Amino acid sequence: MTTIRFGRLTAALLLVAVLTLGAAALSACGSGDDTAASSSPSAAAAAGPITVTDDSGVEVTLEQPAEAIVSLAPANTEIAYAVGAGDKMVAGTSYDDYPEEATALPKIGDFANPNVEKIASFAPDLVLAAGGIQADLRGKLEDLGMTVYVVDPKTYDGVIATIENVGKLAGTEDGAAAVTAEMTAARQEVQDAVGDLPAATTFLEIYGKPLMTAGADTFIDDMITIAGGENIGATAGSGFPNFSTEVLVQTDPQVYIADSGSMSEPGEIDARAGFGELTAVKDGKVYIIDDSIIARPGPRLAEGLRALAGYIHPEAETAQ
Amino acid sequence: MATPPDHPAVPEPSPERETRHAPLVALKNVDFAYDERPVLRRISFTLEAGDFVGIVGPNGSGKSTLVDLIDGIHQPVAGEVLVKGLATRRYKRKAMAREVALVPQHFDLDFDLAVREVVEMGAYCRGKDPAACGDPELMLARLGVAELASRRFSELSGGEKQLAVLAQALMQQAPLLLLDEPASALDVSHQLRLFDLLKELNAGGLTVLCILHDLNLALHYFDKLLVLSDGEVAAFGPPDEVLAPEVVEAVYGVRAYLHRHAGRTYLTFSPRLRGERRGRVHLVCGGGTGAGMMRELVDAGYEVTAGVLNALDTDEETGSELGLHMAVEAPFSPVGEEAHAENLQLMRAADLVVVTAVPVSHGNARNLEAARDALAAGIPVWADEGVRASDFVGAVAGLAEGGAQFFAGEEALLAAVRGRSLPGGRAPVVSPAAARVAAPAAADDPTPTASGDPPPGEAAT
Amino acid sequence: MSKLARTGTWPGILLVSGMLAVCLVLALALGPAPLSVGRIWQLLFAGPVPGDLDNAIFWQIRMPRVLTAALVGAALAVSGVILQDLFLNPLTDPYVTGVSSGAALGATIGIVLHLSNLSWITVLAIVGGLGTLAIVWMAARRRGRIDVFVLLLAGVTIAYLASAVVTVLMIKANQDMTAIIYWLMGSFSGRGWPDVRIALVTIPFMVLPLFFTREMDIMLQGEKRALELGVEVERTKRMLLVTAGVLTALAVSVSGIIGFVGLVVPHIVRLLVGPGHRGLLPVSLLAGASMMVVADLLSRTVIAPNEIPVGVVTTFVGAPLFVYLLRRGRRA
Repeated sequence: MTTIRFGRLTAALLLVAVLTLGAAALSACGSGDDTAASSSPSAAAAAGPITVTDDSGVEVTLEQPAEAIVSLAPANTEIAYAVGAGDKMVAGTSYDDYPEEATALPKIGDFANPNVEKIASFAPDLVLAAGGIQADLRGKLEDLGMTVYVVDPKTYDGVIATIENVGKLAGTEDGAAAVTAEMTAARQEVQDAVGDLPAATTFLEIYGKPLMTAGADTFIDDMITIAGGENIGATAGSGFPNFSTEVLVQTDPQVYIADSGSMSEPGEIDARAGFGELTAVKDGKVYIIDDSIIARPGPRLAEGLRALAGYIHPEAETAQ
Repeated sequence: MATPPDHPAVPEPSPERETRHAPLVALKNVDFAYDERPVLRRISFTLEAGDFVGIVGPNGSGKSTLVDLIDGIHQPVAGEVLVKGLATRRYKRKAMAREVALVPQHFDLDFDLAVREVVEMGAYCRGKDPAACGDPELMLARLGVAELASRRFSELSGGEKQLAVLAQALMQQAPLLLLDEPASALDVSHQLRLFDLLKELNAGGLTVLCILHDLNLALHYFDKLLVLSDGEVAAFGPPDEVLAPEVVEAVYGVRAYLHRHAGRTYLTFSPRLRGERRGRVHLVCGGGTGAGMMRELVDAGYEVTAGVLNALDTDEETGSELGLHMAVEAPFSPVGEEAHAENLQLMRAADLVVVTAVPVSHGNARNLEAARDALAAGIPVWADEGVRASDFVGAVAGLAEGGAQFFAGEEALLAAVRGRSLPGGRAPVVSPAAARVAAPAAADDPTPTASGDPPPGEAAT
Repeated sequence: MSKLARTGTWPGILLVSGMLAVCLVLALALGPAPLSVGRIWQLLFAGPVPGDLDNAIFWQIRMPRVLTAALVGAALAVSGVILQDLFLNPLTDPYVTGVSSGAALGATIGIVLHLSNLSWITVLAIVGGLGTLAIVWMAARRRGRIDVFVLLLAGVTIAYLASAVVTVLMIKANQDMTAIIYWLMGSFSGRGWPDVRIALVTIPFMVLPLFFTREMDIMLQGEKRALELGVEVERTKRMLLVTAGVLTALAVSVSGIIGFVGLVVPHIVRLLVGPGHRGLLPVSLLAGASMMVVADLLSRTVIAPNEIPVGVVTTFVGAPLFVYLLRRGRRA
């Protein structure tokens, strides 16, 4: 009896699985047709193909500005809304929390686990992907006929360039120009304020246990430098490496900034083994910075840059 | 089903309220079951200090379980197991280990311990005082294997391991030693050495209760035997009483033959095909010419009769051991009327009469006459060609005239009997000539079975 | 006629104690922050003094970290010895009882609930580990006996179940994934005196089995033989299981899951001093501490200022050593 019941259960599960796959395949085909049908008339009206190079060095070409955009990272969503392409957004990730209206978007999964079927079901003509763990995704999406732009800038200026590119692809160059102007202004403002001050050694904590930091070759490192700091993490290599507590204490940063994603708290940081002797702790220069303005390569980095400068050189801000 | 024979299960000394002298071990109406499966039923017996008792019984009869019950490893479902008058469930393990030591049947140790360390573990129940614990090296020396002390236990041979484990158990200094088939992994010399050793320990006051499979060792060594059959005590008492052939047959389902030889009693066995009688064969033999055939035919499931034989004749002795119905005449006497009449009856009842290469003289010529009568009565008579040569009175000629068939020797005869289905009366299509043709093939056997040799079925150890 | 070619109990203990002392000295003397031997000497006698960075590095970072590593290594090794011999299974390590997975689940819940105070995560890990032990224990209880085979199976099953829940939590609480992964990987980075205090709780549990070495020796012959020889097997088994469980839970809650030490150290030590627990337990304790201290030393110095996860180091150090000793042991 049990065997028979098992058999039926298995059969039922298989059936459900087959039906699901079939439906997904059908909907994918169907939407492909829709795209083709809707794009051909408007293509005639377009000014011509748009070509930009994304952060992975790939040339991305659209015959006409994107009308249906899917974002695979909160930062990308922010960029799209900032450049004025919010009305073209058809889906985002479950972590999209800015701007407010982005939270209402349909979700394609999250940053680490985007669902390819789900992405395809929105029939986007532009997918804004991220680097890193999404690197493998590009091929899959392109195989399904989608155009992918990878957002993975390594510097503050790189973020500016990316925003310009997204503006071009979405046909909202003007909106993008306003954003980049603000970012450039913020940069100039910070540079003016801290330009002559000696660099303050700064440690930026990404995670506390084990200690992780932002290494060289990251836009965070670039921003610390712009804000008049000397990023201690840059000595540990690129990316987001872990970092020896002993070396940290020996290097004795003047400023200690923890990304809010580390879930650390100022009191807790001060109380850590050996941290009591740090100049940053003694001087009260331990800060928590909202990770959405420092760790997302998007328009709000301008805000993050100003905040960094305020933490690293509070005297400069007062001077301003 | 094994029915306990009329040997009395040990007369209970019944020390009902006699706490002053409690037997070393007493089992009272003990039932035991693993989960729902009953293993032992209504077991009652006692062991007194100094007893030397063997437990025998077929596989699965509950022997190991019984030993575990005495050691308090299991608790009875019903009844009581008392050690020194106290129920085993009331003992703490250490206290139990001081009263009862057990040599297990299976023992292995995957870890690389020295024999000394393994033996020393036996002293655990004696606490931490080295004086109370005894010296493992001395114990090994006492067993004659002092040289094992520093070797790895895992590298010992089966026999050495057995001795090491015995040494471990003896380190407990318990008054009772239980052994679960200690001899099963040992060669014959080690077996004897082990039992001699146990006997010696027993002489020194140790009470021994030992499970073993070899009934002859059981007969030879033990003062008393406990026969377990299907979870019940089939018999308990002196070995030669307890191991009567009918008990062995009932318990083990094999034929057993009790022999007395040079002052020793020993058992031999042959498989018995119960309930399957293949027919009845009467043998005309004597002087050892029929002994081998008797065994072969009995083992093959035939009902065998023989006669007339003189008492104390080799064939008569074999027939008695095998429990055959025989027409017997007094020693060294010619066949008399009474025996002859009985012989005729046996022959008439047979499906086949076989005449071995028996020396025929005036004393036993009547047996061939009887065979001729049988022929006349329609009972086939097959004879060994050899009888012609050993016929000193010309009696065989009459047989041939009567239609007896001749075969080239015992082998050929046996083969023919086996190849024929009895009772059916259908004579084999084997003419004497054909049998002679077949004979060389039989004679190819370089060691033709001499009639006096023990047949292959004799599984003595 | 091969005799046992191994060191005795006391020489073994002395040898490994010496080894541990050397490891501790090296681990305190060496680190990614270069401190001269003279400076170390000075710091050692100065004691913890505020207002001095080197002093803070030595007394507040390096010292508690080394001590935590030593205690965790010792606890895992002792737990490994107990469980391998209780299950009579050489492939057993402290993590098979499901205790570590339960601890991981507890810690994951703490991380997901954003109990940012790390000591809360530690507490939840201990609760998770001991809770799992209780569940596995109940599963293996039958008529007042603990069936170690069922216990092993239940432990492995619960371990898988807990891991599955951890995975689900990781997916649901994506932003905490890194935190969870790093916790699972195991590390001594940033361990301070509060961690040492938790790790110190392991000491009585490491000492306790030392009083039961004879029972443990006898139980190597199987539970039945141990009963026959007079050991109260159930009681001993219970005590040992709880001891191993508590040791594992405490170790894991402090350091996360660090593999190989609990599996390999007992084997290595058996090859050196034999399977007798009078030598095996104390020597494993000391050797486990030594191995973990060295592994942590390598983890923090080899690619400083980065760190290699200590579990990777224990494997790299332990595996070749183990293979070498196995081969040598076979030839002997």
